Amino acid sequence: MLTISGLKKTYANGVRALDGVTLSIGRGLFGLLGPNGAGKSTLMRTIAALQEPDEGSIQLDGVDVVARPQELRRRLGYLPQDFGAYPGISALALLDHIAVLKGILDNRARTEQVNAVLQLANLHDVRKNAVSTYSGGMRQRFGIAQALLGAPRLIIVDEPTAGLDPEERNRFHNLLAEIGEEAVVLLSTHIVEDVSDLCPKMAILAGGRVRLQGEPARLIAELEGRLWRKAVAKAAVAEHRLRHDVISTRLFAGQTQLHVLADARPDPGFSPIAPTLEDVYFATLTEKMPARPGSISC
Amino acid sequence: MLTALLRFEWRTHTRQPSFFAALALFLLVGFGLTASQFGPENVALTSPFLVMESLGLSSLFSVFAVAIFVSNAVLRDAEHRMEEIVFTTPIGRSAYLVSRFGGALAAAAAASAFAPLGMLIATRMPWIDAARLGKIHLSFYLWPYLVLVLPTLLFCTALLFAVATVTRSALATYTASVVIYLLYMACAALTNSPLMAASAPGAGGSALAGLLDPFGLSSFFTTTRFWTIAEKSTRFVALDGRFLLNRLLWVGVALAIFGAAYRVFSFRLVARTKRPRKARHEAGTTATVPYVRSEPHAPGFRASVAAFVSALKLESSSALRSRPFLLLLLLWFVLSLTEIRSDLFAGEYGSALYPETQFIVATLKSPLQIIGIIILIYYGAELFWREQRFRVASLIDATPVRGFALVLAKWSALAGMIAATFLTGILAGVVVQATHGFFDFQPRLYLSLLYFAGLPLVLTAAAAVAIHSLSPGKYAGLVLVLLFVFGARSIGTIGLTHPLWRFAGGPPVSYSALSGFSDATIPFGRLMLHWSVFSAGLLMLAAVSWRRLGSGAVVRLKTAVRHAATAGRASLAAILGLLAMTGGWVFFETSRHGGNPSSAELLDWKGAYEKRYRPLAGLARPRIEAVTTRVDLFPAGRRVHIVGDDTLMNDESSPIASLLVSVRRNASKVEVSLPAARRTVDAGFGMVRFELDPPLQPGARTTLHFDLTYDERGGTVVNPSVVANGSLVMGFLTFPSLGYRSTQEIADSRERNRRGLGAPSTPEIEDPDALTIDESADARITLDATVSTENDQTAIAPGRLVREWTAGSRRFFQYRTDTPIRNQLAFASARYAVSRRQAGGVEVSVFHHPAHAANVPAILEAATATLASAGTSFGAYPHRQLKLVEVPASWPFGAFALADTILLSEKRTMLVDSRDPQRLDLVARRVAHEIGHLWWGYQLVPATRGGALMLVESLAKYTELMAIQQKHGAAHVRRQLEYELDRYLAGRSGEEQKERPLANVGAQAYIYYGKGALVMMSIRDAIGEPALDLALRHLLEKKPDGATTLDLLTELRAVSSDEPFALIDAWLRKIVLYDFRVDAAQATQLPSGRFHVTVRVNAERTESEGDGASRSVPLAEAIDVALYRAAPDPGAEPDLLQRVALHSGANDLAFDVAEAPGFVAVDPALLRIDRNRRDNVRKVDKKVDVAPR
Repeated sequence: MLTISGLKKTYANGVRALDGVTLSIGRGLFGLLGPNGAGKSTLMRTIAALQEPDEGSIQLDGVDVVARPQELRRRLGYLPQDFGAYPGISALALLDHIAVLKGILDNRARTEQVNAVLQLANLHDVRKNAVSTYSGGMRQRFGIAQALLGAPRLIIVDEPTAGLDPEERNRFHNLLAEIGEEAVVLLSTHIVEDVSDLCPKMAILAGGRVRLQGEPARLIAELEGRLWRKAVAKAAVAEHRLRHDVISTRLFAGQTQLHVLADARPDPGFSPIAPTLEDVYFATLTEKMPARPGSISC
Repeated sequence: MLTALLRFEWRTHTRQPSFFAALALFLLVGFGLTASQFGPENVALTSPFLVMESLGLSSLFSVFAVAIFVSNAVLRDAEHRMEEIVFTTPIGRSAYLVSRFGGALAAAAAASAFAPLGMLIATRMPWIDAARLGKIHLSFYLWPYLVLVLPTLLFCTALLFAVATVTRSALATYTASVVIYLLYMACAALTNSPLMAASAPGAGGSALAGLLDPFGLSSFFTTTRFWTIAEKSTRFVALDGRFLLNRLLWVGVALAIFGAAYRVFSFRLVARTKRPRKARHEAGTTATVPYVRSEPHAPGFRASVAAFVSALKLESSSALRSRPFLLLLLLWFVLSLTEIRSDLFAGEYGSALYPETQFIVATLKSPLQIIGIIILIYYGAELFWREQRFRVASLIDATPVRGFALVLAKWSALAGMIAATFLTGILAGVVVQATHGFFDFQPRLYLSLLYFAGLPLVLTAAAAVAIHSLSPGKYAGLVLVLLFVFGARSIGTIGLTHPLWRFAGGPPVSYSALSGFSDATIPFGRLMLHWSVFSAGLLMLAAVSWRRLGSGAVVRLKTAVRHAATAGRASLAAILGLLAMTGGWVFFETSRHGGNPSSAELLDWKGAYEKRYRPLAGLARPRIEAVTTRVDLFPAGRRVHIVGDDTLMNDESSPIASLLVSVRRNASKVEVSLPAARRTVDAGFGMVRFELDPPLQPGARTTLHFDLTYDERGGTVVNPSVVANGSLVMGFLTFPSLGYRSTQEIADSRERNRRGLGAPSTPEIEDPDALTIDESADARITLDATVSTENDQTAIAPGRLVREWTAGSRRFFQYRTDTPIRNQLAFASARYAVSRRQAGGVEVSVFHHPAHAANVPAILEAATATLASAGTSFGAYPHRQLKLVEVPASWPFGAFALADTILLSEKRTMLVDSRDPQRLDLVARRVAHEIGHLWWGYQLVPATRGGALMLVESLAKYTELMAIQQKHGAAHVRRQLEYELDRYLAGRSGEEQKERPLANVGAQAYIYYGKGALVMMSIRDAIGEPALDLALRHLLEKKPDGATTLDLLTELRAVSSDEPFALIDAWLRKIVLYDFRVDAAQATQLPSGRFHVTVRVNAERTESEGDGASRSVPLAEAIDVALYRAAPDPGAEPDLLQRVALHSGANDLAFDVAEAPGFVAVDPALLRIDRNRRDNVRKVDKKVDVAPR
């Protein structure tokens, strides 16, 4: 159980990255959605005890992470958004090294687990190659492999599927789902599908605040019957924006498709559509998501 | 476009902190050189020579600055991952490269320009001696900047640019800069640069090395090597000859390298390593393994040890894989080979040493310290910032590993790299030894290097790690470490001289086979313990601030402080407690043993002593007639107890009422007494004043009783007298003396001026008011000395051994003189082996370390032969015994003569390898010279005047050269004279005061040794050996005490005709220099088959003033001209040797010879002091005679 409350962080250059984040996350996959610059990475790094918050507390299974980061690190698997590798060091050697640093001292157990995560990440055949020579996708899988070392209770994966092809992404999702049975898995992404495919729970972060959290299915249900679509010429978009609650626009076959939120069909040009998580996401970002009991919108 | 790019580069460089660091460095170096009033005292700080030398020295730093600029220019795209963006812009290759190169060059040039600025600022400083400020001409600064600094910068930039472009590696670039520096060091060593310990023989060194020095400094020094003060004050170094060639060569090389880099460079991303063996695995085919959790071990000691081991493995495998480091080791190996070989086999007079481990260790020590510092500065930064650089920091920091384990691993890796360089140096030493058939490697002595030189470096590495842990970035950390290292080394110069100020510093520890490691090992060990604790604290600090939480330096410092106040409180308290203990111990011991006064304190003391007591120098005093003493040596206790009585006799014409007695101030227990006298003690100056009541009447005697102890425990005494084995107690350093001690005066005139002291006290030869104040020269004594020592040691004192006995655990030796000797005493004790030989009525004994027996037969042979020949030439040796005694290498002489005893330095005599006939016989030379002193210096005791040292040293040189001629022949002497000429010419160029003529020589070794040897041989040639020997014999007979060079001239006049005497008189009283030059030489075969040889010789004779200004004087002398078949070396015998009359200017000579001559040489036997001997030899052109018969 990961409990975050009132987390604030302002950088030296004045950027307020976290502005009072409060979340409560149980076992299983938790998706953290947000646009670039929403404060996702700051939140991830802060939870991973790589930096300290200005205010607020983080507790993992009742342990204060800010005060006792070592307790957290023992149970942490962390895949940073951006990482590299020592030149010339093979995946096997680097994993072994990280495993030692994580405290897996028993040689046999370590060898077994390193081999296991190499296979899970589908890197076993290239384990003797230097990580620095890996392609983007391979390196990402290496990152996942190292995050699995040990017995993490909390796994933080920051933008994990960037650079993965669809097949790899699939495998990765399966893996996460499997791990999620025993640990808190915090998945930060700006790809909505990742969350809708995987996460029983999610939150949307923007401007350093949690804008929405809940179960994807229930959130989607909120928009049921209230979402309308219309294709208009590019020139008419501005006018529609004035008249309707446009949550997203998208080019389709040379015309602009508008998604509009309304209790009734706004005009005959609109047709009703079934909402997706993406619509929830856009509705939240444009601050048009209806307030309702059970979903916290701050 | 190019202008815009260049402007962008300029902006980029000048906004880097490293630019300002470099700028500050140059400003500081320039300022420091001038502000310290660097250079010969009589040369203005603003003279073109000194300005050029200073700028040249500061340019040595430029190679490192350039490395930073170049790596910034070339590698910043890759480092900041801008390559894709920049390389895909339409910018052309030439615009890209020229702008990057130009930017780096401009930044380096701008930073270097701050060195002359610093020098100019320094001339305005208040402490600068106004007399040393000449007129400031900007051209003096601009010229060297243009011809010396800029070409160097161009070359360094081009080479490093090429390296950076080709390798795309910052480390490789830095390594290349070190390589350039090493190339300079090698050239400097080969050209006998004044910056290096003099090693290579011969004049000017190798032309090739002068050419190959990329900094141009070697050719600069070669060009100015024999410049006199006058020339150094006024002359510009012209851009011609070797210097021009050197500059052209390196500018050319620079352009070629840049051209090559231009061709090689392409806008392709560098594939950094080979592709993976299997590019990509097909997805989805692996067996699905279940994910297994592996419960981590509880954090704690075991986990930290495991993490440390794993991290160390990783770090060291990276270091070993790093080609730059391996290249550095390889280069260092080669450099060590050269250094070791040059120290072992190119010593004084080109002599060789036995390749003992102790010498190799001494050679390796200081370059290892330099390389170690370079490693910890460069690799410290590389290692510490690896995680940031390769972006693995967030992976590592997310693990529960303790910072301590990782910091310790980094530090250990750094220590391992330092150890690797040490082992490489040691390997080079072993290789040199093995190739010379020497297999007694003494591994423990080699390993002592790791402790005495390695440990301080390893501790400094801990400081470097701590500095990086708090530094905002890699380069800032690098500069901070650099500043820290130099700050720690030079903290003494700002007055913080207590050992506790100097991080990882310790007293220098010396080693001698005879006496082992010096006692400085004790304070060294104590300080190392202290600094180890300190370093442990630093490592803890680094460990605490290891994780870059929030990354800022301030945040990390706060974290460290917070940690220290909470979880780290116990360790902090422990470290502080230990530090207080070790520091207190150091402090206590340092104050208990007095420590050593700093050189400034000592100089101040000497100055005050002179001011206070010199006025009393003329006070009448009695003569010491006899000394009865008991000297108890306690080698294990590092203590000597001296008790004795001096019999004083008033041989003045009036009564003596007041007597000054001087006692060395380091005596720990002093008791001096005189009957019927009132005593006042000035303990600070070690002076005791007796008021005699009644006064001592002329002809009356009294007894001065003394009881002194010298305690040298603690290891703080720099040149100890009493050591475990090989003690040497010198009388003039321990016994009381009468009156003012002029030997305590400051010799350096700069220091004298600073303290308002006048000229030093060696009076000019013809100064009628000069006082005779030498405390021993005018006294001959009889000695009765009983010396006791530990019972396995032999003690030696002047005189004949009359009794030897053992009492308790001590051995006693009683020595007595048969005839009075000069009052110069020495007492030695060691576990000696003895070899004896009877020579005439004299028993010659060599007391030596049993392991140093190799040269003993040669020493005995040289001693007996010289004793015999000098006896024949100058009169019989007055004693029945001669003792030659080995003393530890720490004594600052090669050998030291006393009346019937000669002290031989362990290193410079006993371990000199004179077996090679190609080398000068240094062992025989040294022994013969000291035997010469048994006449010149002990039988003849000159007046303390200018020229006194000629009577002592030049005459001993003459004795030595005659002994060498007897043993090895005239060719050997000629070879030695080459060295003497070089010594003289180089010495006068380095003269800081005034060169004096030989007859008035002061403390100027280059004159009384170098010129003395040449002039004595010239006199011998001019009047013949029998006449010269007769004159010397007469001098000794007529005036054994108080002779001057004027007396010598009188005796020489008596045995010479007018013409040679005129020459001799000029050689002694003036500074006469010659220059002979063969301008043309041609041989024509005559119909008879013989050869007609015509030679044109240009001759010049100059007389020089003391400051080096010289004027031509007419020359008309008979000079040797020789013809050789092959190129002559100094040892070659000529086929024709003819003495011809030469006059100033061109002389056309003709010879008729049977064989075709190959070479002609003027003055082959070095009978005249020739400023330039290179042009004295010329190949003879063969003229084919086509004339019809």
